[in-house]
Amino acid sequence: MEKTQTLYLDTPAASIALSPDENLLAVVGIHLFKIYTVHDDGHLEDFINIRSTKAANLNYSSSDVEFCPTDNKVLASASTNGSVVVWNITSSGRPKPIHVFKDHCRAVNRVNFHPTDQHLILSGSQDGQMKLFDYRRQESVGTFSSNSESVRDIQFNPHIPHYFAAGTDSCNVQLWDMRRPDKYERLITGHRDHVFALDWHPVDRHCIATASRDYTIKIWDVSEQSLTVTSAISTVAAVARVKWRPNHYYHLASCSLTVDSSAFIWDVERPFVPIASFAYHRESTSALQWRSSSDSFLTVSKDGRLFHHCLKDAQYPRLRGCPFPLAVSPLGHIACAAPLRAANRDRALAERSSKIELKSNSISHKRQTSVTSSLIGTSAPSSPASPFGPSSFSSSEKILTPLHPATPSLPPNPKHNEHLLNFPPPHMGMKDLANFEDIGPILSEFSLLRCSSHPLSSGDDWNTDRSCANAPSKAPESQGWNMDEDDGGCFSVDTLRDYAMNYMTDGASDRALVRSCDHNAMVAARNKRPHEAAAWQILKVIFVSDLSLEDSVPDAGLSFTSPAAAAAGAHEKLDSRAGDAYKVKDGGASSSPDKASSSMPGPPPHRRRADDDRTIFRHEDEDGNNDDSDEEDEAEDLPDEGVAHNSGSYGLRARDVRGSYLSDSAYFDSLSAPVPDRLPVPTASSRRATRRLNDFQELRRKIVFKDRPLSSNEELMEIKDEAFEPKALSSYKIEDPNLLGETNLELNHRDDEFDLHDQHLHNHNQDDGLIGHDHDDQHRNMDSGGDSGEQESGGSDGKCVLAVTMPLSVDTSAIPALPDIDFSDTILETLKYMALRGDLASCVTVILVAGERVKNVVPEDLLEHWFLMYVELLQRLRLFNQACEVIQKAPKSLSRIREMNQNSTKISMLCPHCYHPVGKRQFTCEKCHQVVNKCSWCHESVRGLYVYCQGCCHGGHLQHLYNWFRDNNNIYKNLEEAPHEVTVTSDQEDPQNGEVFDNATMTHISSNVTSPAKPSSNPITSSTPSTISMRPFSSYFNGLGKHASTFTSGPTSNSSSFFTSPVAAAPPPPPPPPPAFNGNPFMGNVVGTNVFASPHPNGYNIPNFTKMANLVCPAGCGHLCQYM
Amino acid sequence: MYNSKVIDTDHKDVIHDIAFDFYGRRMATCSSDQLVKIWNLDDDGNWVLDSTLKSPSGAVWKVTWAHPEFGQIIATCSFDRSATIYEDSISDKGHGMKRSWIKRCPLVDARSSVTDVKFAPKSMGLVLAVCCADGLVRLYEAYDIMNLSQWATVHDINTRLPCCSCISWNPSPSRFSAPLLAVGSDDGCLANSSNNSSGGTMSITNTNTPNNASNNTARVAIFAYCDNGRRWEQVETLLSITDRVHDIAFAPNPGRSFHILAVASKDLKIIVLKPKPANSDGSCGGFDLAVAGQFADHGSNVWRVSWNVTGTVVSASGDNGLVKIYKANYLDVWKCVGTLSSFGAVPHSISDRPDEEEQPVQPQQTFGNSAQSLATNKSSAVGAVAAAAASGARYLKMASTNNPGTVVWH
Repeated sequence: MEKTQTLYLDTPAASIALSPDENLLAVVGIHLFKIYTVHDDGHLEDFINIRSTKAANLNYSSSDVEFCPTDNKVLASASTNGSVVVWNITSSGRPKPIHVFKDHCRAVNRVNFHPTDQHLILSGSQDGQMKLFDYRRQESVGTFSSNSESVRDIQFNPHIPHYFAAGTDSCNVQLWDMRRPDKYERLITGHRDHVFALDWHPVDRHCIATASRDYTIKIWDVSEQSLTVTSAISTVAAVARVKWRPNHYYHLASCSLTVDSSAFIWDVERPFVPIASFAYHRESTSALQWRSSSDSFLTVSKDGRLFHHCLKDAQYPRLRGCPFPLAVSPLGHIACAAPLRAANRDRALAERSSKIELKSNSISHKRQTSVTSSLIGTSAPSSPASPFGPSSFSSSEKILTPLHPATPSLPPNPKHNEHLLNFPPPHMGMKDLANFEDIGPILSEFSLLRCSSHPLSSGDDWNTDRSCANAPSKAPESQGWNMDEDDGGCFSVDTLRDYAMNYMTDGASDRALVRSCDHNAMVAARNKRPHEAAAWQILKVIFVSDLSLEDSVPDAGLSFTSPAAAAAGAHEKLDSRAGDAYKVKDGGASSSPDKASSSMPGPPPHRRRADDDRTIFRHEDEDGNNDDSDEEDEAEDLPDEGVAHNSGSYGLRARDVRGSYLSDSAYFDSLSAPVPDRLPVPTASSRRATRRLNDFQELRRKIVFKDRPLSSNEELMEIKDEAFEPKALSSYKIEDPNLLGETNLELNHRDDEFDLHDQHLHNHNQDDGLIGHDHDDQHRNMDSGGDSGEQESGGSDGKCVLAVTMPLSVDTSAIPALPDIDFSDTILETLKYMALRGDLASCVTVILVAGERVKNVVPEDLLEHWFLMYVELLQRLRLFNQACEVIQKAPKSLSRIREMNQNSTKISMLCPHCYHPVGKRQFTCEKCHQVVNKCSWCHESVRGLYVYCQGCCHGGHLQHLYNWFRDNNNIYKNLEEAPHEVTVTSDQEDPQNGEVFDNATMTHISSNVTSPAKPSSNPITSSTPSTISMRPFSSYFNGLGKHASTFTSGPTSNSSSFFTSPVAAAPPPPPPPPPAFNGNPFMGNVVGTNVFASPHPNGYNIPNFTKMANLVCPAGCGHLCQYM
Repeated sequence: MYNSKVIDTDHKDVIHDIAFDFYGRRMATCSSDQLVKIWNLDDDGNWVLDSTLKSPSGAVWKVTWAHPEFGQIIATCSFDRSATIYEDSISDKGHGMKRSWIKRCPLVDARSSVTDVKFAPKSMGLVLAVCCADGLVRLYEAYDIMNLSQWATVHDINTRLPCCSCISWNPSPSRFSAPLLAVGSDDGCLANSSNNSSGGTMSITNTNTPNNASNNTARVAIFAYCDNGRRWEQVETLLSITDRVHDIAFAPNPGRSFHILAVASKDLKIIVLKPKPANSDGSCGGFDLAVAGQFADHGSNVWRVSWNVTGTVVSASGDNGLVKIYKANYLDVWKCVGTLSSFGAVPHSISDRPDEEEQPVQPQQTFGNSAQSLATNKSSAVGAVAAAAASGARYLKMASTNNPGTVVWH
């Protein structure tokens, strides 16, 4: 058993040599010349110290040593004084110099015995000469001049004995034919520095490895036809030695001259990372020598130690790198890569190319050259045979990357073939990668998983994950979840985006709050997020005592709530009207939605609502069997799991009472996937459950989203009595086939359904023992829970009230105002739950909407945390406007958030004419008295936003430029090629502001810009000098000409919002053509410090936008805006 | 529904790391072939190669993006014991603006292999943590973010771990929790856990036998920045993990009172760290540790873990080439909710539809009850989906065997 062993030599060693029978080991150095006997296990025994026997002689200080390959008794050493000494180990064991050749005038770097003729020795010297000695004749029999400063290494080709190679200081390798001593036969160029070492391949006669100070080892194919690099290994230091590993076709060992003390074993097929490294020496390794067993080798180092390395004790640098990387992007992309055999890939490509030749031609060609050529070499087996026969390198049976493995004969190694099929091998993934066996090159298959987004489409059934299904309370969340669409587990990026963009945050007045809540509930609903939708409705109830406001709120345009229903509070009436509207609408909907809406006689608000409603239904329709129903099926198919569901559900309920998950989880769960789990339904058919669920969902829509009061007192009373959602739901469990899938029918019968439901409710109570029983249970629960039915009107416990009132929040008119109940805990728990589930959008928006109403509910640090995270999230989605809005509207207590817009932005301004700093209030320069910030159009000084072209720096009032570009679209078409940019900066509207401005940044600006008709009325403008850069110019034009939504190529989302905004203002008089360039208008608005530092050579300050944006963009968009 | 898209990276060797930037619009891949490639997401949703950077020498192990507030900056660490900062910068020399990646600064302080680099959360400034195999974690800071060629070491953390392999910052922005840094360790690049210290006396000595003590040492340590001492202090050691740790990742914290740490070693562990109240002297109080989930269904090794942006879903890649997705249910029980096979999709796309790069991949349901998961999928009846489901059946078959590797692809 071989072991890693070490031996102290006490003095730096330069070289090492093993005798052919591996019994003797010679180690030489400046002060060292020893011979050891080698035992089989690698143990070394002092044999003789040659230097000790005689007085020091320069002949004994050697830089290289070699045994004669055919005679164990003969060795040659290269001395630093230029002599080559041939030694004979006598029978007594003492080497005796046979002859000393003193032909070289400088140090000899390397000696090499002729592979067959044992009397011939070749030497390469520092004097640039190579000499051939015959020690029988005791004279030099040939001299080869390298024409370079020195010869670093020299070696006979073991297969073509009259051929040798020499590495020189002139960066090349010379191939000599011994029979032609006048000039080298071929020259290998390609290294960029001294060639320190070379080694002929032990098997392939045309393969040579050369190592250089340029940190590379190159493998050359030097067959007759070609002279090419087949592989290049990059190392971390200048390479001192290189040696092919015996019996391993693609392996070689190297050690470095400086810096790195390790020895490496490389696979030339994977030339980037060594297979193994041996970091045992403390100083650089000067020489290495393989043992013929090929599992161990010897190294000596300048640290005076000799190591006998065993491969099993190596380090495997490849293990350092992760073979299966993975990354999840904020957009929900999952990127992963896996190692794949190049051979496999090639085969795949070969197959593919055979099928679609034209298309993949270039690809496969490229691939094959890039991968296989580097491995196999360019001399194909079919090429005409050279005088020396075909390159065995390419025809070797060890070729591991057959180009067409489809032909069974080519992959010769069954083991390898096996690897091909199942890689990575089951239990040796990493070992395989680090393996010493020839496993061939490995590439990574890189793939990206992403979801085709269905923003509004239903929770895709086939994405429903089972574990969610196992947890019924979780089900509603899984609806919206596309697993790879990431996020939230509950919550897709699209949902988040929709929330962020469409949630209303206005909660200043009660009316606004009601409106916002309704709107937000709708937003949540259309994202199929019943939890949040319901939560919004709850909050509305909690925060606004007088819900009659709800319908009298004037419609702002976004909201779907009814504006005109003047008779506020006249809910009964309104409701009946609404009912009519529905009927009409539904009738129409069956034929054509447009017609329906146009022919609808009802008041617009109702129609609007109806449309919303219809939208919702449509979604549900598309779902067909949506997740809930699927889970339903499953729950019933698998009774065991059903039990688990029940327990889960109960567990939640219990928690509910304890308040930990309160309103949100418990109630919502009951809302969206509730009853079936509660009911023991061993025999119920899945179809029934599905139906029930559909019904329920419909009910839910009605209740939650339409705010449609129940039509009769009786109904109201009914539900109120039961006062528990599950029961209400079960009451709707009707077996009306019309309900299934036939939305139109359903709609038509909607009003009837209510009656039906009532009847069924009674029926169920009477007939369905199970359910009735369950109802009783619920009643009991209710009672024990604190008489929830009463709570709705009277109320004692906030939490329970929530659970009960929510479904009934419908009936806003009929419910008296809530008494003052402290909902703080409830709200806090709700918000925490939202945050926990990743829905920061709802969480933060609730706080924004509620405003002062939740002032002290949430601990400040938590609040800050939420805001920080939400802002970051918005920024990740590049919703900078929204992020800025959140920052602006953050509660006043969160000073850290509110200051986010003001961090680290400083804008100073210079006069464009004289570079004198311009103050805040000034519109003329103090020094030169010229007007700064002139609009190129109207020649007036610009206050507020300043829009300019980054190419020519013309600019001026936003509106003027906007109109100009709009009206002169055609004239400037040619500018589309020009890499111009339009930049919007703003002067100080409020000159009181100091040097450090509120850098409300782009986002703020854009919020101004979106309403160009009244920029000054926007409070944000007041203190917001900022910069928006837009590019390219062409997109500006295009954006104007086409539909606004095409305008997304601008650098920031702001620019698009700018141009997508409708221009409400009356167009100003046709602008004059831009005046001649009279100074750089932008220079009045120079931004950023570096601008001062680097005035443009021709006198204009063209700002470096990289840095500028870096300065002015605290929103985190980065300074490379073109990626935005 | 999934799309699995195979991107031909043209890397010549194993890809070791993939990193998305802050927005998910750019992506960096790094490979053994010494290349770092930058990809941009174009408007059509395709990833387009932007540029290719060549590391001077050595395979690139890891790549990471800085917050874009500081610019388009990536840091890499490579085999040559260095970490390198690159910046995508615009020069306006000549006509028009030219963009190019410029090597700003090599960080060459490491005396052993650099195993991981990670930028600190934005709130700490432009700080880069560099983790070395010798157990040192160095924190570099760019004092002047306008001049990225100057980085200074601001902290040296001696982790006292045997061989650090990975680090993770706690991304929580809250100022009420001290900055946290988790460090994991493995056995370096030793295939079998021996070490390399070579004892020896005057003559030949056998180097020591493999030191198996490392199997008993803790592999994960958590450090917190203590304002008192203005230094990083070890606040917690995860004694429960003694296997080699390949990757470690804090979950983004959307406002939880606790932190979640995913640790990839032989299995995937999800660990909840509940902060204890701070000590009276204001130093960090440590954490209550609890293992919230432990999954060994990846075969022998879990290699990487990655959280989604809200910290609710964690994905892990394993030795079998599969990506598994885990998520907590309402009871905070973590479960595997999906299995993605990126890798198996390829031969299919070649054999079945040679000219189609992109095809849906069926989410695989594991847990051995794939038959039931078929039932889950039955409702997807539309044409294209059905076709996908048909191909998905094959994947299911694949998943139903314990050993995906044993299934012949064709």
